[in-house]
Amino acid sequence: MAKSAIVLTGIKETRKALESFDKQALRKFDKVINTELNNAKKDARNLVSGTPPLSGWSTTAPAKPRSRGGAGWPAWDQSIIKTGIVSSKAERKVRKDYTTSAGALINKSAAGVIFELSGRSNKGAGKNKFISNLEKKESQASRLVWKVVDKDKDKIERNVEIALNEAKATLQKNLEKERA
Amino acid sequence: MSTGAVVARILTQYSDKGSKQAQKDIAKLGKQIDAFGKKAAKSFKLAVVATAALSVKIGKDAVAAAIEDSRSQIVLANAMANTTGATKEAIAAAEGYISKTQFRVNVADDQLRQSLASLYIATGDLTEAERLQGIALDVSAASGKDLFSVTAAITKAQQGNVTILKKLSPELSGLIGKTTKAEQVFALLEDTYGGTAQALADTDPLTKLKLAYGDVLETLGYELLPVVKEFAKYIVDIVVPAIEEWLKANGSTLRDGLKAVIDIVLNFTKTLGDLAAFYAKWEWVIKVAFAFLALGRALKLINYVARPLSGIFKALESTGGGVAGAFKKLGEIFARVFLKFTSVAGSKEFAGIYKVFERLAKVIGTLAGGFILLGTAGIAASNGLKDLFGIDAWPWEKNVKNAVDYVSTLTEKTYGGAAAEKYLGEKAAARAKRQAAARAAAAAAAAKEAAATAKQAAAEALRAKVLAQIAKFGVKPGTGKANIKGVTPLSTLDPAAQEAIQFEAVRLNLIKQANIAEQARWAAIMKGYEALTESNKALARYNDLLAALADKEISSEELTILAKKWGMTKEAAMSYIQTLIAVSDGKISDDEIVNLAKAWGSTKEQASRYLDFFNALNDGYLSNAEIEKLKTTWGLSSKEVQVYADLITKASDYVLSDKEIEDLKKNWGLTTDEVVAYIRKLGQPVTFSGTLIDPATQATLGWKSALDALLAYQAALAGKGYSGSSGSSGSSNGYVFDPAASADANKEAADAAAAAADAAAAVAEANSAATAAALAAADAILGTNSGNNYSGDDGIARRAAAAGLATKNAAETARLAALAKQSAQADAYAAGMAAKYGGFVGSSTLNNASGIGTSNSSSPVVVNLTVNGSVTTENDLVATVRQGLLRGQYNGQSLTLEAV
Repeated sequence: MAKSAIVLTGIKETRKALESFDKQALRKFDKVINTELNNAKKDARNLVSGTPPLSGWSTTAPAKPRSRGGAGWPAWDQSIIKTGIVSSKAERKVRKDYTTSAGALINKSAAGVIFELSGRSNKGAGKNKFISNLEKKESQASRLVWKVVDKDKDKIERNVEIALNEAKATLQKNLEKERA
Repeated sequence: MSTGAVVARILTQYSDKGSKQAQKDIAKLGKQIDAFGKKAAKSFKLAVVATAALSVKIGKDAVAAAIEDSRSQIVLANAMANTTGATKEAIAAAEGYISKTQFRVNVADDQLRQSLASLYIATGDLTEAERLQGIALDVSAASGKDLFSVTAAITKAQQGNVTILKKLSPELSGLIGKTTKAEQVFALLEDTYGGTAQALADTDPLTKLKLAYGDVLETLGYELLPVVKEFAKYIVDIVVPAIEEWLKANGSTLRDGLKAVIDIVLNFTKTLGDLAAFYAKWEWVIKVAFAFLALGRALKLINYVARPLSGIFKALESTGGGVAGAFKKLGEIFARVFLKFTSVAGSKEFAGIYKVFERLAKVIGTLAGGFILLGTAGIAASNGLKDLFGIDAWPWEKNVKNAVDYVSTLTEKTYGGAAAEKYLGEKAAARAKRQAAARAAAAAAAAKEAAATAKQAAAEALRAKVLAQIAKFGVKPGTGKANIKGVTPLSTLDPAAQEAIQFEAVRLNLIKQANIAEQARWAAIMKGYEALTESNKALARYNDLLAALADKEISSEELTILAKKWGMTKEAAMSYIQTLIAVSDGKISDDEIVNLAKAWGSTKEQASRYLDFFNALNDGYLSNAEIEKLKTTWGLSSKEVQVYADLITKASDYVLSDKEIEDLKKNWGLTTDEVVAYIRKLGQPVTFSGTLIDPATQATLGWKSALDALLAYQAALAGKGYSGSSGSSGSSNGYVFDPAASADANKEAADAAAAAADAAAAVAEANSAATAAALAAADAILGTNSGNNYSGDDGIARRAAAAGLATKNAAETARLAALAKQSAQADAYAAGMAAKYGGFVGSSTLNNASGIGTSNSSSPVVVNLTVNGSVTTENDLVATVRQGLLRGQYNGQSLTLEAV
């Protein structure tokens, strides 16, 4: 997990203001964010293999795929796991440090989440063969979206920060022009 | 989103929602605290009231119990004192006995005292009384009779009336006869019921507890009794007289007040009387009013009723003919009459008349009624006013003087004398109290306003402080709510609209960011410090170098001293000097690059890159422009440029310590292996002083560098590019060999190798000649030369002479070949030294330092000579020098300045 983060300020306000002044600049700014998030999403999806990470992981859907638990649940289905990885710009719950999300990758599918997180809290796996085998064959926990975020977060933040600063500068110019 | 999804946040933004929520929460918490406070206060009040009530109840019970107890004590003590003249000690002993006995037998002490007093009076002996009481207690407990009855019976028996005990214990009546003595019965009773009271008491702890509580109450009561006595005394001595005095002082007021009430009643009665007289006098008006009002209503009613009645009678008329008997004709007449009447009465013409009369009656009735009402109101008001002013009649009814006198009299009656003074005093005190209250209210209001002002000032100060702190972070808060096209300018920190908490939230957030920035700033400062240190070191080295070059040459001893001082090896010191001089003019020539590459055994690209970096870092600082230039030149990223710069700075002494490696790892997030890879790519020979990089890795690093250089050389020979064995991808980090660029460098090596090969060939030739001479000699001896007929003595002699000549020739050839070899080796050595040390080694006297390092191994060594004397031509000079050098070589001397 990334250790630190750049806190961007004024995304919402800038976007709102740009809607009135410079829609082209807004589109440009949105494009940067969307591109970065989409690239991250693609990277994460590319980490999903067609075959299960472990040979025993069922590939046929269980009798009741919608219910949690039971034999064969959750099946390893590349397409489901891939489509379960999405990007989101929705603001989420505000943390105690008064920050919220401006862009995130979400791993929704059950199999994807299990593959992503197995062994994360149970460090060293202990007697859990599934985790130890998974760690041997793949890597430590944070195997999909978090892996991509850990890798690309700095770059994405930097690019979005640059784009945001550019957008702010554009907006400021427009405001000063209007004031004059 | 489905439950349990993993959310990996990439972008984080500030939100003021949290601060708003915090604000709400704080407000909510405040309300909750207020509500709790109110409830708590209420509960506390209830508790206080309940406690007070309970205290009063307990206190009352306690005092009552104490009074009862003391009464029984007094009874017992008086009985003892009066009958036998018992001493205080005897009375105290009796009290002790009572105290012990009550808990032993669970009987209240006042009952025991009453019983004991009776028995003591009867016996006159406390011991006997106690014994008999014991019997009485046992019998009472066994029979369920109360102690007082049993005691009375025993007392009577003790006085001779034994038969009464039969009633007390019917089951024993058969044993008690006329001659039976009391003591016998008592003994019998003791035998029968002895210990019953105590045994029963032991099974009833509740009664014991009750007795104990009673004792506690009594104790408490005894404590409270003085207070109650004092209170009673206060009431009797202070309160009651005060009330009496107050009654005396205010008796007249009370009386007058009562009289005033009676007067009101009387006045009301009088008003009623007046009204009655008024109504009697104007009775006809009342009657008219009611009559006309009733008439109006009646006329209206007739108008309403006549029409329907007409219909009814019309119906009767039509059916009247059908009625049989004697009533037939009467019915017809009756119906016709009423039909006629109702028809007329219900006609439209009459309706108008009704209305006129109705209105007239209404007006008359209203006027009459209004008159009566006015009269009533007037009487009531008149009497009320009279009552208010306390007069019996209006001035026009009586004279004014009487009324004034009456008022004065009443006033004097009510407030005369001391009471008047008291009243005035009370009025003045009340007025003073009101004024004081008004002043206190004004002071409280002023204090409240001052507190509000202070609070406002504090809030303003806090706001200013927060704004100042925010300003320190370079954020400029907005100055107003200047909306443009409905959009608030960028900054949401509008001081006029934002609450302090929002500022605080922003400030904290900024502090958080500033801490990160501060850390970065510190890191930059530390980095700058390190760079400055290195720069100082470089400056010191430069000074050392200038000092060494004061005589325009650097001797081997000076080089050794410099290397020692700089903490380097001699070779590293030489490389450093070479590098420094290469960049001293700000330009880096190909020769300088090639020389460095040869000295380090690295590729030309590595050497060139190193010199570029060294040149950029020469001022101890890597500017953004320099970074960009290096990025463009070498196809590196910003990070890679900075890593290289950092590495070159740290390895400027050709030694890397563990700390320096750790710093590199920490600064750029590298692993040890990645640091090693960077060092390898750099191409600079570096030694490791710590333990982080083990000797095996160091050796591997050296061999890999050597292998790279060799492979590059081979590739150059083959005319192919070599990208190095590092395996790293990308042109920025790989060893891309440039054949054209390296051709010059390798030409010299090839030349040297060719010279060596020539020399070897010459040696081989010499050896061959010597072999041939030896063979010839052998032939001469053996006379077996197939090519020549050297038979006979002459032949043998000629063969021997030829062999000797051949041997001589062979020896001469070998010597010449050896000389050629030496010459080739000398050339190769000179070329190598020239390549390695530039223009230093081999130079005789240097006109200036700028000449250093300008030689090129691929071109002849340029030696500047100062010749004392004159030469005719340049060729003469060259020939002289050449001869001198050759002579020296012939003599086995090394090539030194002195040799020339």
